[in-house]
Amino acid sequence: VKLHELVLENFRQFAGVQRIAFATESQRNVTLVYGANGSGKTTLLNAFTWVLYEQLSPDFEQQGRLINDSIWAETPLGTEAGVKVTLHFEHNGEHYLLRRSARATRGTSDAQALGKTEVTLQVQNKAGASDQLEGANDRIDRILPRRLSSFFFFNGERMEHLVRREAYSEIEQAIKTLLGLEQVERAVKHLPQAQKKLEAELTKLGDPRIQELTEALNFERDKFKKADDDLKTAHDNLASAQDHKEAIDGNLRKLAATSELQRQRDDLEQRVRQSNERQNQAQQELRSILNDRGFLSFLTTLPHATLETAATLRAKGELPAPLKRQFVDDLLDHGQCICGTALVDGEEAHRHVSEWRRRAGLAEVEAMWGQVAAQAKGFLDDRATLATDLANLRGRVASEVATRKNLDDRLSAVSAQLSNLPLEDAQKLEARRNEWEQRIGQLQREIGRADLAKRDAEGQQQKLERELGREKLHDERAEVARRRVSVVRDVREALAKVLDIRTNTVRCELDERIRVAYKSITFKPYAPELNENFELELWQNVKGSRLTVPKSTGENQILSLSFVGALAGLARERAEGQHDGVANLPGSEGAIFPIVMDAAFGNLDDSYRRDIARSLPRLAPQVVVLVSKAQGEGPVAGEMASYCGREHVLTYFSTKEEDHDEQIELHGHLYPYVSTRTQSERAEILEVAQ
Amino acid sequence: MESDKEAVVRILRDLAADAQQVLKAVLHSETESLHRKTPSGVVDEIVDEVRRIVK
Repeated sequence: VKLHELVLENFRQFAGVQRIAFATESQRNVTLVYGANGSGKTTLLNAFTWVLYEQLSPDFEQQGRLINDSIWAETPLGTEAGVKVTLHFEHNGEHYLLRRSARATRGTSDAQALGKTEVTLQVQNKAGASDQLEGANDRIDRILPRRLSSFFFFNGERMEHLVRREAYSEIEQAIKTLLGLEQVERAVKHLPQAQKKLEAELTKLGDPRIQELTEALNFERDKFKKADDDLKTAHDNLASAQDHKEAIDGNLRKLAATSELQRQRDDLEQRVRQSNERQNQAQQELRSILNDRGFLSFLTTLPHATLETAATLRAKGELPAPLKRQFVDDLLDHGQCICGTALVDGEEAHRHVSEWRRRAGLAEVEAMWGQVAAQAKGFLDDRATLATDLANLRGRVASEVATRKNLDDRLSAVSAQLSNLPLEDAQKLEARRNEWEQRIGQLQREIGRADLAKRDAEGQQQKLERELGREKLHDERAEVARRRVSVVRDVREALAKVLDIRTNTVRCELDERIRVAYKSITFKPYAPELNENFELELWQNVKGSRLTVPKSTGENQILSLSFVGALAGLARERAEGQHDGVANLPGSEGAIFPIVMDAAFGNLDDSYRRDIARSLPRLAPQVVVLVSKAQGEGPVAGEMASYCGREHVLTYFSTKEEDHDEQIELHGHLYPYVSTRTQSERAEILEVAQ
Repeated sequence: MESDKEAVVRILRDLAADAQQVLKAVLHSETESLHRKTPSGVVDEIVDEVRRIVK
């Protein structure tokens, strides 16, 4: 998708018809829009999401007042006023025109009761003919999936929410959308409902036992669903509680009186995490040893008895056997003994040699005896080391338990010191932190319980489904009904596995891309990670230990931007057909997303602004950046100069009485930036001459 | 070691012929209903497809 032009008609500050054209060249792909506070930068961002998805961001105030205030005020009572946004864009070589409009009738109150929006989508083919397309919303969703839009049309100051735990489900959904796995996910959700309907048919046709089994199955399904819902709620609540706790930690780090104690706590908590990891490692080794060699502890007499038997056989001369059976068989076959005597069936010599056949040993049996004896010896040696290994591992676990006990005591001491500081703010923060910590513990226990209940219900369901499949049926129609049920179950299980595999693989792929994107933005020695819970984290290596990096606003913004860049890259690759789709499954074709970013640089310091400004042009094929004069000056203008294809100024006309007129100088020309003492609050878009 | 793509192919290949047909029909219904603002009737559509395929 390449954005060409956005046309606003009476949309909020933008009275009348106002146009903004975007840079479309690949080498000069950045459009910079300068505007003062209130000039309509956030409105522009929302104009994109409104025309595309009829969606406005939560920070867009007074969402019911879309029609320009002056126009609305001038509208006579009982007559209509309207608002319209048109977007010209290009997709797969074709030009599209998307229009969304809404109207309201002026009543006695100021409120704008906007009616249903109207949306049209026109495509202009290469020959220049224009066609109106059916199902505009549907088509837009296929071209630029709505579920991905928040990653590409966003406010820079708020994008750092991506690094909070609460965003993990949003990220997971984005990955599924990107992969075209939404339909698989929906199928996994809908198939059990279809299965239930087919089971109802089976129940009608089958005998009482079938009815009993399907009832039990439905009971287990309800249990499973409840446990699954509980688990999701608990996970969401846990993410939120952890974010709250981290926010308090951040505040304690900032306060001069508490920063040192909080630093000590950060360090102790890091050590607790490391100790937990070491204990998990030891427990994993313990499990692995018990799986592989645990049986040896039950072999008290068998290896000895085996070795003794082998020794006895050797002592008797039976091992190795004095003669091989094959050798005797060959003599009998040839009809001649090694002494030259003819061996004729029925004669004494033949009978005598045949006797030896019975006493001769089999080569395979002998070889097997050799192996058994060696293994018995091996068992004895392994048994001796098993006890030592287990004792060592149990020692490691016990040592970590003791380490943690010590760390916990020290953490309690830090908390007590913080609670006792003669500073009301610190005491309050610590008290709230303790509450969140308790809540986190409670939620972790809830997760454990719900997880157990879910697994149990799942196991029961599988057992009952198997039983249902085995039950004898005499009615042919019942047999068909049962086959339908099992086919649906098989399909559901297969798709659930596919969903897991693909989501996880792409998570790993995105993780790698985030690392690359992060390195391209900043030289800081940190490593980002998109972990198994779809949380974005930042790590550093300190003297061989892997520690999390305390999240500053700048770091969070770079991390979030790396994620957006990685997502855009993957979407682009899929759109260009370089990426393997899910074999034999229909999926989304990916999309080439532009990035539209409001307040890209917020209050970041110069070094972060420089890093972000340098990386933005490369993150997507087309970038629109909305900045204030202060945000765009200095490093931002410098880094983006060579990529900037178009620039605009949003001139803010204010009714303020004070004389605060301001201008902005761009490429040697002055443009009005703020103009006060005007008759109405409005904004105008001016294109900068380059 | 089996790659992600190979695992997906194996899972799909291991399904019985009628299950493979059902899977395609289900994904087709889901894809069709995905962009509808109020996806409805997809479960009934799936049930009908299963009845049509498994006889």
